Amino acid sequence: MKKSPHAYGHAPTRGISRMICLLLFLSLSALTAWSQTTSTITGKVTDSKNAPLEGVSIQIKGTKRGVTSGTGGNFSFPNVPANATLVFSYTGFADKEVAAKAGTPVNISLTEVATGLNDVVVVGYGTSTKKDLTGSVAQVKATQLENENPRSVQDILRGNAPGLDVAFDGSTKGSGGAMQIRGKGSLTASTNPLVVLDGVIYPGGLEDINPNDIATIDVLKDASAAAVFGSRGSNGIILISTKRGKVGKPIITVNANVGLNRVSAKPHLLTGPEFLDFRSDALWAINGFDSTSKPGVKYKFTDPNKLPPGMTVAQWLALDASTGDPTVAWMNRLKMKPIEISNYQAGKVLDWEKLIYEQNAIQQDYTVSVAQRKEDYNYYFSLGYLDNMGVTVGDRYKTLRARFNLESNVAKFLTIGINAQFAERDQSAIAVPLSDMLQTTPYGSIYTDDGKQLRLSPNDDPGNNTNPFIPQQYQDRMYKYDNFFANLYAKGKLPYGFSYEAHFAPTYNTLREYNHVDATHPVQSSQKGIVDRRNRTDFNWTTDLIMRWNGKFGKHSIEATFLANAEKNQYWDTRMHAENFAPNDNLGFNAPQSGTAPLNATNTEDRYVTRDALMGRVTYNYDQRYFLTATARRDGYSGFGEENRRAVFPSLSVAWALSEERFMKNTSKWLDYAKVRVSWGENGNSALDNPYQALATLGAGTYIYTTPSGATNNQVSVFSNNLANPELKWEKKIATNVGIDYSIFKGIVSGSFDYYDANTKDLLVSRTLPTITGFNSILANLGEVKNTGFEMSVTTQNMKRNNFEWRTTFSFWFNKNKIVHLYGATPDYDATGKQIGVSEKDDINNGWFIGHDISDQFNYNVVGVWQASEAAEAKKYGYKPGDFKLQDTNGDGSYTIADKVFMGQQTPKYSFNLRNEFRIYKNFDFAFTLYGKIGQIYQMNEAKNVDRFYDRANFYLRPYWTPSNPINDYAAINSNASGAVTWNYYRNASFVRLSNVSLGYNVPAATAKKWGMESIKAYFNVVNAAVFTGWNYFDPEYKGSDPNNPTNMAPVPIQFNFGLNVNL
Amino acid sequence: MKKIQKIAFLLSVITVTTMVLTACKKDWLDPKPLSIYVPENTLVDIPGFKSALASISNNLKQEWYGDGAPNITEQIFSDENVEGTDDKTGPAQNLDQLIKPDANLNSVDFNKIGYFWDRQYVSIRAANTIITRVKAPAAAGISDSAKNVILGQAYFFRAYSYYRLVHQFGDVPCPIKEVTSPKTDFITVKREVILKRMQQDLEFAVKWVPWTTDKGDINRAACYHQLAKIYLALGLFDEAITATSAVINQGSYKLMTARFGVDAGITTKNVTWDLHRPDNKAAAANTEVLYLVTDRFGAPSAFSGGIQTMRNGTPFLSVGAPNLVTPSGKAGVAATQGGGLEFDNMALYGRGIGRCRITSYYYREIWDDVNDQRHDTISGNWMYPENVRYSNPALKGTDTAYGLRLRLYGPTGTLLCQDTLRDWFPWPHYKLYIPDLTNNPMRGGATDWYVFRLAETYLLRAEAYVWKGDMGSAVADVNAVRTRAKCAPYLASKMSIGAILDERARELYFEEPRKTELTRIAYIFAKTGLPYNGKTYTVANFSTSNFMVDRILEKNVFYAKNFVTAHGDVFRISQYHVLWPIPQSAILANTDGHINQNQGYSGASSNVPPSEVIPE
Repeated sequence: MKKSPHAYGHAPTRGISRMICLLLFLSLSALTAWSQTTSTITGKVTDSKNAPLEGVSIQIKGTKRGVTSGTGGNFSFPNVPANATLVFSYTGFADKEVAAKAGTPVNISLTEVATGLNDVVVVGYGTSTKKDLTGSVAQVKATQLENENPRSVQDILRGNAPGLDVAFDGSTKGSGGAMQIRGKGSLTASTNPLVVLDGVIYPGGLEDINPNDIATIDVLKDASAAAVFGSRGSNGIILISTKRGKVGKPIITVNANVGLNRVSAKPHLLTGPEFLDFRSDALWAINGFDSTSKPGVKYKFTDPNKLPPGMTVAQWLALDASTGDPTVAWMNRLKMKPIEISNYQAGKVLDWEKLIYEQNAIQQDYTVSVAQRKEDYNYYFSLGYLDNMGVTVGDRYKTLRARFNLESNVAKFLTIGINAQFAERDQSAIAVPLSDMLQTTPYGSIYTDDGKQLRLSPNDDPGNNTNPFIPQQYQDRMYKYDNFFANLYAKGKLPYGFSYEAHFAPTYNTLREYNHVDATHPVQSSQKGIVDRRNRTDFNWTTDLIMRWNGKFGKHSIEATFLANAEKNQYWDTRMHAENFAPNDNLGFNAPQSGTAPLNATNTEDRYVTRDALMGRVTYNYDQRYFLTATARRDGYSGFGEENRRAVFPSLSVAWALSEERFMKNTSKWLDYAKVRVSWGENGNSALDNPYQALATLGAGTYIYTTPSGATNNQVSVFSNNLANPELKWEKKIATNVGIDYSIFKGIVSGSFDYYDANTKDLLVSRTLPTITGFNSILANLGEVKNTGFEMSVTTQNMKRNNFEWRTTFSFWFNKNKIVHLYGATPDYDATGKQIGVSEKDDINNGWFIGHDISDQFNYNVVGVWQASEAAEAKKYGYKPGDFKLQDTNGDGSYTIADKVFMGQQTPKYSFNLRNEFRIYKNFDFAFTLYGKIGQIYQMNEAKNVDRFYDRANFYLRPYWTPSNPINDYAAINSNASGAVTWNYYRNASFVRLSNVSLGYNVPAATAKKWGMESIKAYFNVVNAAVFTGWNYFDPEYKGSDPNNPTNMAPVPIQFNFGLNVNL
Repeated sequence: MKKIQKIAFLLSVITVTTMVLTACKKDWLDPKPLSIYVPENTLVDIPGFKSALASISNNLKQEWYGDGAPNITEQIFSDENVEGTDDKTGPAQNLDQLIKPDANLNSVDFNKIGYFWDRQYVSIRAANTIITRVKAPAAAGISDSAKNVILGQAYFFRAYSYYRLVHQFGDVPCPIKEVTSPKTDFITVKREVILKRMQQDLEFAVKWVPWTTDKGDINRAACYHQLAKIYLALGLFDEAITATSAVINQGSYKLMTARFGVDAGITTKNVTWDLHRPDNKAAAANTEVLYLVTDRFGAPSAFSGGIQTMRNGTPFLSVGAPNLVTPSGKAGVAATQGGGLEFDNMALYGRGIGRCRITSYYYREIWDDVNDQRHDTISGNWMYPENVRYSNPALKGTDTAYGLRLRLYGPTGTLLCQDTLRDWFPWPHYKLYIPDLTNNPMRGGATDWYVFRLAETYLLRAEAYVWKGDMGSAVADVNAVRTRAKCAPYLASKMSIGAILDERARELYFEEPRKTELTRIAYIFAKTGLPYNGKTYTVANFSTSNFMVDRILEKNVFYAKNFVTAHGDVFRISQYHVLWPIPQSAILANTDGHINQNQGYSGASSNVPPSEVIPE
């Protein structure tokens, strides 16, 4: 049997079936032995950890005679001549030679070379070892990241798997980072990979999986690996395996972690005098700077105490016939409100950054687990609690997560088990809105004059700004999400090499989203209390039946897998709304029935989706040298059009372990292993947000008529939402992959190269329609997108001394994305309406251009800022000095669509990961991870400096143009950024992030034992330690809730964590 | 043991087989839209079609509601208003610069030209779906006469939208059937061709749609009223007189001349006030309404945030220093509502922002009768900034101005209001005052809104008479409207198209689509060659010389004098703005056909002659 450090899942099943083959084989060997007279050598082969190794080749040196070790690593070699030397060889292990001695069992322990070739890899409806793979799979061992305190599945994957882009998420939840494998293959359908948890498709949220429970994550990247998931495989697969018990006594593990979140990567918000200087400049700009018609306008807004030589305060006051206190006159000119003037005069200044950014945001994360493995059962039980405060006041996320994995061997033909998880997320916290903060100024007041009650508007400008602390005080919210997911299974061995597996996996989620706005809310008091209550229940189930057959004939190994699957996803979503509470709203969201304006009380949305699948897979290998995998899957999905609910997805892949060939003997001194893989396959994408898009649906509501007698008549109204598309079907991705896995110098260098080429056809496209149809778009299958890319990863054992070990893992990849077709060729006409040919048109409204990257931005190019000397030229285009200057590409003197150019792509051109691990004095582990994304551009419209009314709002410090600061990369305050055309301003957003630095200390085992513990580890790590980038406005990667709308940008935290991991 | 294994094996095989068969059962994958109606089971009976018709009213009503309501864009392309928001880039002030096919044409901060394009085609699509499906076999259960009523009402909505589209955008594409596939080969159809088709449809509708339906639903009077507008647009003045007379003479529609409704007991008010109270518009007593759209507080169809006339249409009187200061230079007004203010301005007038800034044409030049209730300050129908009081509580005891009326100039002649564009203009309170339960400070809450009112029917007939030169009949109709507002009657010698437009302004401000009506009249001038102010027009030169823009330059001083705003933007309009630009996105998405751009806008050079027939 193969070495299986994470022996769980399906490996035992296979072992049993292989035993049958071996028994047959041994019987045959015994028969042969009968006829001869030399001695028979028996023994056992194990790895360095004493786990038996099956399939080890044992040869008599200098001959071609050999046997293979069987179940339990046992072997029996008949007819071995005396003084013969036996050579033990096994892929991924160093060869060993032993002199044969008759009568004494030969017990051999082989040493693994660090290639990972024998690691068990989950491949979907089964497992494999890395060396048996024909597809492209990346594996991440979560246990190796313990020192880094991952808070989410994304944290484990980010920067650890080549070809997988995991976005950074700065929120308290930390699990919003979108994942994308090998580029974007779809224009509108989801590009999220499919998540499979412990062997079954997981429909829940990744935040509900405790990262401490995860043993390994496998990422299936190429078509052949993903083909077993058919219509859901085109975005790749993330296979998560949770922990199992290990042989021995029960192990109790306590992982406790306390951290501090500090705000990082945020622009400075002005306060005090710097704010007044800015306001003065802003009004100068708003009033058109100094010009021939407005000479000296600057001084009008200058602090009367800082007037230029030669200007008296009296002259200054006379500029607008002001009288009285010059300070008050100045403040009035700066459009300061009375409260601001009096605060300024009293020397009261608010530092909103200090008020709104949490200085001591504590993060706590505790997990306790118990695990054990015995002959007949193994279990893993855990309970975790995470409480994470965010970097803005009030932002907080809490979650309780429990897991129970149990497996019991009832009989040889029956093993039953359950993998269950329960999670509750509490997202009730109300964070202070940053947008309100930006509308206030440092000279407002938070409280009313009594110093207790919150001021409605800190600047007494209620239409413009609302006190950011009001929502917290006047709103009561409950947002709790409970998730229960279980995978119940039975599996076992059957006669004739068959084995079976059956899964039933229900998911049950409930959401309670209750909100109460108090009747005393300063803005919404006329509603006398507002309650919104939403309950959503999800119930999904998946069932898989798997039959497997294993056969081994000499050097031929065959495994066949058949799957039948059915799946149902349903939810029921109910919302109610009530206002105008009587006698009062003291019962809050618990009593919406007390609202007297319940007219629009209820709104429901229920959904129902079904799927099914049949899949067959055959894997074959000859002598661990030639490998083949063939797969076909037939899928059904209720969301597609009547004509196209089912489809078939085939795939084929082959691999050749080059290094195992005899003619490669000469290279074996330096080449441990080399394998060439080639795969081809088709996958689908059926990820639709709305499963009813193939149907023409009607939205329903009510509309009010009044009868001739004056009575209200609530007339139902129905309105069509979309065009039907009875032909709607899967996106189809056809991909080929060529790869090499290698290991050289006894495992000192190992890694892989992959090149791929994937064409997605029949794209699910929200095709723009002329609004003349009355519709904006229709979901249709059109066009073709091509992704080609290259991935490499290399792991090097740089140094391995007694007291110092250093390992480096580096991966690098790029993906090129190109739209090949959109809607097909259509006729072209000349000015007289005569057809002059055909051509395929771009979809300019959606920003899709044939031959370009999906994310290529077609826009007006900002070439600088109109300078004072160019006033006359600027005027021709309707602009003035200080406004951004656009490129008049065709030089016709006006801006039209003909002037737009391609600005660049929003996806990275290159990505890389670099991880270094050090072990010092055997007890210290130090590691750091860097990752980078290079070549992407992002919107930076803030550089237009018109995102707020700057005579009323505060300002995130950034440059701005003035006649005395004639820069070219930022416009003037209040610049004209629209006019006849609208455009976005882009900046390069390349970056390198030092995403994690960790240091762990393992208390020596003897000491730990003395303290009554198995092991103790203390660790310290810094998450998001640094970002190196030219982007200078918030984080280059984290764009808040909407990546295309950077105005949602929020500061991201840098996290310092200290943790203890104790095994009892 | 072996037996058990075999049994288990067999069981598994059986389970798998069953499973596979179940999975393959045909209805397993049938979609079940649980909370959604689909046309196949809805547009088959009378309630289904009535529901579909109601949704069109709900769609078209959005023109008058919300912050930056689309109707404002109609108003600023006229003699009555300009865009007053002068604290940012974007509002449609310099139309030369901002009204372009590729500019932002559908935004509160810019203009809503794109809204009219998009949403009117949505109304047309909904009407076409009804028109196609009521004739389909699935609707066979409905009697022919009931079908004709449904058809007539759907024709009304389609005609309403096309009438607006051809006057906003000129020649436009004209789908008249339900679209069931992704159609991208539309072509431009000549304006008259579309209008003639709508004329036929409405001539059918006025035979079948009943005179009496629920208020908010379509009745025969509304169909006649729309038909009259189309007759006028086609130059069929006699037919327009017949159609309007059918409504005026029908008997149940009468101008409201006596006090009625919720405020009838308030003796200082008058019938003009009553006519525009939210609760009175659909009241049983109101005999003047032909068609209105409905919006009631707390109802599901209520427009979120209310009508906001007290934000968009009234001056920005909520800011203190430096915009509104007392003669001694202190911040003059409170910036909040409620909280025990002695002078709670915003509870009385709302928090205006002066977005839809009224011109001197509408607030001063047209008022020629001191008794006119529509311009009456004593009853509170009309308001001046001077009716508002210095309300800043900080002034109490420190400034003698507290509680006094706002003043524009200080004693030495200094301006006490910095931005007269936004902050200082009178307004028709009786029309814009809509008590607001949603917003604090008030912006204008939920209310019904008139679409067609009998007063306009009179003024349409009067206009038809003027075109025919029958000034005696014309003045009788104008006087019917004027005398209700307690004005003295006009003499026939006063009648002209200008006089009709003045009366429409007095009576129908913020109700009528002013730009649409001005363009319609401009077409009639171009077609008839009749002179206006001594000048004549032609259809061929419509986009270089037309009545509409001449009228705007004559009456709207902001465009005429190229006023410059505080933000430095210039008010400009050009002759080609008589027609709005076809949004570039519509032209681009129509990959298989050719849609013409209007003259004066980029892209017009590749125009082809518009179709003389409507493609079926």
